[in-house]
Amino acid sequence: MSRDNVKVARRIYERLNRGDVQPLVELCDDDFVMDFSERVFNPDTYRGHDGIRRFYAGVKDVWESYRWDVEETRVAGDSVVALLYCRGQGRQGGPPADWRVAWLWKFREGRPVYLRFYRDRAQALETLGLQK
Amino acid sequence: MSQENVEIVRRMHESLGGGELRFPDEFLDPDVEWVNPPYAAEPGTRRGRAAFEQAAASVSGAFDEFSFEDDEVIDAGESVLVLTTFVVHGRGSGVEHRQPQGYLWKLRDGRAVRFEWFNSHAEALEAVGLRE
Repeated sequence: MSRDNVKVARRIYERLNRGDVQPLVELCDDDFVMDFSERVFNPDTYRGHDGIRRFYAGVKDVWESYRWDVEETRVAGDSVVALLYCRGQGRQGGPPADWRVAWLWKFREGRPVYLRFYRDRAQALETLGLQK
Repeated sequence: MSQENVEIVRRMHESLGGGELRFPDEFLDPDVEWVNPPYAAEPGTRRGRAAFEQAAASVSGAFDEFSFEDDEVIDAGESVLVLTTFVVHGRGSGVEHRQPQGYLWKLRDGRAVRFEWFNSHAEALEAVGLRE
């Protein structure tokens, strides 16, 4: 099951990078929570399908282009930590920004139920009792 | 007073750089405004010292290290305009990017009451009725 969860998470990033948020919407129930309160720009928490769409619309609004590349995944039970290299190109020729961050996914019966953004990868791993 | 303001802004800019964008407290009016352009990651105006510092912290959070080069400080009547090259390094990649920017400062009684930034010198000059 945990391998399947990793596959699901990886597929979500592939689709997001292709500009398609719908797979994430379809995979999640309407009580899905995305905690992005630690994000540098526009920290927020998103809830449900509308929240997922609002999250993605926000990314499209802010950045000329944005990518999430999975560098590594770690598993603990029904949770997956995706270690990401993110790159955003600012609008109007603004400077590009890139970060190495972590998204912690929690799954229930193969469906994502909770997602939290961490600026600090080590902190995300520690939350699950994992080491760098 | 105008030349005095130019000197204040020049001194303040000379103190910036490194990994954290911090403006000297004594330089900021309690009601100081930070104005992001519409194309910024967080567009709009922040009011008050705490919000100003939060906006500066977002810049610090986006980049690993930064510096300002080739500063030209222009007396623009009621305002002071700084034309600079914002040199940033990506947090994830360390890659350097050089971005021409303009910073428009408005001061009252020796303290900044408004800071507005632009992603080009031309745009900044236009804001004070000048041309490159």
